[in-house]
Amino acid sequence: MNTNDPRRIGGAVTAIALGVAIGISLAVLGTTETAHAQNAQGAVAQAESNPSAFTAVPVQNLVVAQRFVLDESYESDWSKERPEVKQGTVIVVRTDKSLLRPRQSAMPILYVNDRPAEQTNFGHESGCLVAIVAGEVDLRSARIFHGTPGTAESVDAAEGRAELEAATAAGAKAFPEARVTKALDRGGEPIRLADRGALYAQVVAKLIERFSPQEAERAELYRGFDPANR
Amino acid sequence: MVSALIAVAFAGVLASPAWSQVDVTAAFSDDATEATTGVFVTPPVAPVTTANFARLRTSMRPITVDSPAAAMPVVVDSSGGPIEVWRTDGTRATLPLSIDPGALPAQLLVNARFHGTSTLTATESGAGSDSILFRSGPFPGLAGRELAAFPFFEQVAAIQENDIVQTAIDPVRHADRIGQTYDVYIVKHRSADQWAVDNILFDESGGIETAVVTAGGVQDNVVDAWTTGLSGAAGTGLGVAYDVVYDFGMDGTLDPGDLVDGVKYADAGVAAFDSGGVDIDEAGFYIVHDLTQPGPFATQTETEFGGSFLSQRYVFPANIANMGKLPFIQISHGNGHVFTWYAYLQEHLASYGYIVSSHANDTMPGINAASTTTLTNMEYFLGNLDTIEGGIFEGHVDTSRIMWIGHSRGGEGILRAYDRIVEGSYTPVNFDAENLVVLSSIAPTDFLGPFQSLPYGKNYHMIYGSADGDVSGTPSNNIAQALHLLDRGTGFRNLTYVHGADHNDFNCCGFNDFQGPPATQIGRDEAQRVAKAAYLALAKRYFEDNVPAKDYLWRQYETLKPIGVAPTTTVVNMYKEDGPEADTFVIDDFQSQPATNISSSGGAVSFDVTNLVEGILDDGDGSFSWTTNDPMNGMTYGRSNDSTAGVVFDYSSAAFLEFEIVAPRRDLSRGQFLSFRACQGTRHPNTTARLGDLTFDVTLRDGIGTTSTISIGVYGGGLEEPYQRTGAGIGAGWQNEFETIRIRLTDFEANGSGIDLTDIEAVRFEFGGPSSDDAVGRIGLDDVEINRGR
Repeated sequence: MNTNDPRRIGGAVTAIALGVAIGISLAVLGTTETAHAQNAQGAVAQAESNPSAFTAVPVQNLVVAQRFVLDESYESDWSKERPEVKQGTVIVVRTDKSLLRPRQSAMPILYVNDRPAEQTNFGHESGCLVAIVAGEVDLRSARIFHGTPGTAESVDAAEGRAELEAATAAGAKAFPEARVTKALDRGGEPIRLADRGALYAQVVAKLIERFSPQEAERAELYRGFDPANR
Repeated sequence: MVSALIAVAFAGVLASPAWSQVDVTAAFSDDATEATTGVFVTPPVAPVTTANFARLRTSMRPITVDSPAAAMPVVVDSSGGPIEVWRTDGTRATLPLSIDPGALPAQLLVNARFHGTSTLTATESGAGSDSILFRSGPFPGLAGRELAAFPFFEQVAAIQENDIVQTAIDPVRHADRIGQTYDVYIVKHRSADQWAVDNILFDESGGIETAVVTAGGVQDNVVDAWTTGLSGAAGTGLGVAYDVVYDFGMDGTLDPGDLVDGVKYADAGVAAFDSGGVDIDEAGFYIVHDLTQPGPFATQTETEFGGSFLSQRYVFPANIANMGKLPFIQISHGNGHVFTWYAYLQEHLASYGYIVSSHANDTMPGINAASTTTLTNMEYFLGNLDTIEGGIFEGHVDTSRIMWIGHSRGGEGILRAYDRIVEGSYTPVNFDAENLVVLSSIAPTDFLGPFQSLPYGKNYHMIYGSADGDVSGTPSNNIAQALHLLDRGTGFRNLTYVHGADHNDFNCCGFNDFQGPPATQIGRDEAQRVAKAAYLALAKRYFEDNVPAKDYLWRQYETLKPIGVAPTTTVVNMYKEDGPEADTFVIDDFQSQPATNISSSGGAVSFDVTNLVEGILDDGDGSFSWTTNDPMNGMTYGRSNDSTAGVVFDYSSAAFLEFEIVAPRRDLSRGQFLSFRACQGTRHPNTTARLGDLTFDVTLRDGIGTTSTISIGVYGGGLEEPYQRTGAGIGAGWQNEFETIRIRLTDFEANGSGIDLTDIEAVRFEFGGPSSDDAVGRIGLDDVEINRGR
């Protein structure tokens, strides 16, 4: 078997499940608004001079959750501890696009519980983020939110816990179980891939293309991460 | 001291007795001048030896020694210092030199070894003597442009093909030549070696001008030497090199006694008066084409996907297979940007013979991640030359000449990458730190602060738009203050600050983040024209040590704007020579000595400007609103824990700020420029009272009190008024814009000012005086120094 091919853990091909996930129309995505999201852009701007003034903003919807396992792990740049990523979940979340405008200075960091998620796109036009959650995560209890603007690589475990506490105090809640179940269903069976490049090329790129089609150039970039596509 | 020496020499030695039959005469001079102000000898390009005599003979001054009725040998000797004498056959004439009557008249050549004065005397025992006073000092050259006020003429290296070439001779420096007729030739540049084998003049300017050295000032001796048909077509180069020859022999050849602008001299140290020289092959001037236009090579574009964040787009000369090794430039984009967005810059530089790669940059996690992809992409490219694109680059990459360019987070990322190499946390496999010739950031962030993203002593450039809506420079956000990175360097550094350009104007496709008065928006095309010209000059400067390219990095944009850039576009240049190679004498950097009455070089500082404060160049209250509690208002060059410092002050009537030159450093004659950087204080009442370029006077004063004063405005421009952007407080005016002002030291000598550059006691800045249009002002000042023009 070609190790670069998407494989379901236990041997079942997951292409169908992935296809289900990416076949979802944007029109059916949830659009829950939160009070936190209002004036979010202003909050980001204000946080430039006073990051501690930023109030966590929960994402609006969990759309897709695709679990994966890699044959070859990689070291994540998305927290100070730089954990090895061997398995995890690719999620698609819908959120307030005003938070997402690409900036060079500090941007709100996407957290899943107390750890920054590996954000793979910007979603500033679509409102949809595709992100990689490293390791095991119980999405039924997870808080997914935008925390204090900064860079994820500088966030250590203590800061992550503080972010989660602040977000919880600000009202961040886990998604209803039905919504999480639906997201997992859209993701389908866990997928086994060779490495990070394959994850980006075969999963992330397709999800970006589908849920944030304005970022087709980025999706194309990620497709090139897989040597099989060279 | 010079005047005293002349006086003594005149009274005691120079006057020939009436009965004397001995005559020593300099070519293209007259006895009267020889006996008074003396004969000027251009400094040598290097110590003359038998081996290099043929190369250097044209810098010597011919003399004739005669005594028509000589019965005894005539003895030639010198006193006072810097001259030596050579025979025309290339043998050294050791002084005292005895010349038999039968060998008279004798032709000799006088070479000036040092700056100063010396008297050459020919004596026949019992028959009297005759003498010439020789003066040797800095020779600024002949090519340049006329100015409206003192010093009336500026020597320049770069002359654009839409301009004219003017030449001038200072009739006071060259008083011995007053009344002499000469032909002006513009000739293709030749090295000293080439002049040695071919001294025939062939004018390239469409006609030889004939003029006479006229008493008065340099302004009375300006020649429009080339007015039409200038061509800067230099192929892949920047500037077509020409020399100016004033042919006083009027015989169509360059001979001793003629003047040539194109054989230059540099020595090893400002303070080391006789430290020996080096021959630098530098032309008199260069005609430069439109730097915004592409070079001669057709380009080819290829894209490589080498794995996770190893995607690269290459643009390079299409005929690379037939070329040698080319410098390599790597671009690291910013957050939310894509590696395909820099085609404009890649194609431009590739058309001049560079391989330009833009790679996928992992900026989202932060600066360390970005620095990693800068490094891994570099390694990938250099480590796979045999396979990338079928090996097309194999054997064609000059790995000793590499430039990194990074945009925004990528702009900080390249410095982090370099810092990791320096600090030892990353060891390159396929290159080393020395291969990196120059680093350049486009509007970089400053996430990591003073200790992790440093350019150290590497050549470092920044291009930055005043209307950047992202890395905005706002005083409340250190991360968005790009200029921090510039001031953390310790090597050559320069800034191209573009009014009306925003963050994403420097790529093809980022959103419009313009923040500023709408009428000032220059747009992406114009911003990219500025960038193309700046980067071409940068590459030429640091890859090839190109001489005219330097002019584009420091001269006022008002006087040297690339032809394709709109006349209305405002750009502020800052250029600092720093590091051991620069050999700069820093009068005051305002850092190592915090007292306001002592400079960092140890000299006294005196002033009567008001509200003078010395300190860290960091806006202290997070707002650009003017308040007396925040004297560093508008300064965004450092964080509170950075070391960069300067001085700020204001004035509402005539006022001064003076720096004493400490005694051991008062000989400035081997320096090229007095240099400093200065800015207007944003939103200060004195700034808003008269929005516009601000000018003031700079005065040198020597040891006997002679002064020479130049207004910085005479060169065009002045200190640019701050970009009139609102926000970050009350009023209009964005961050303070340090701008480099360099005044050629020889300009202070123009028209016989009398200033003695070998004994400068003080540099004095005079504000709001009668020669200034600006009666009030608020100014920041830093890095007052004497540099070598490197």
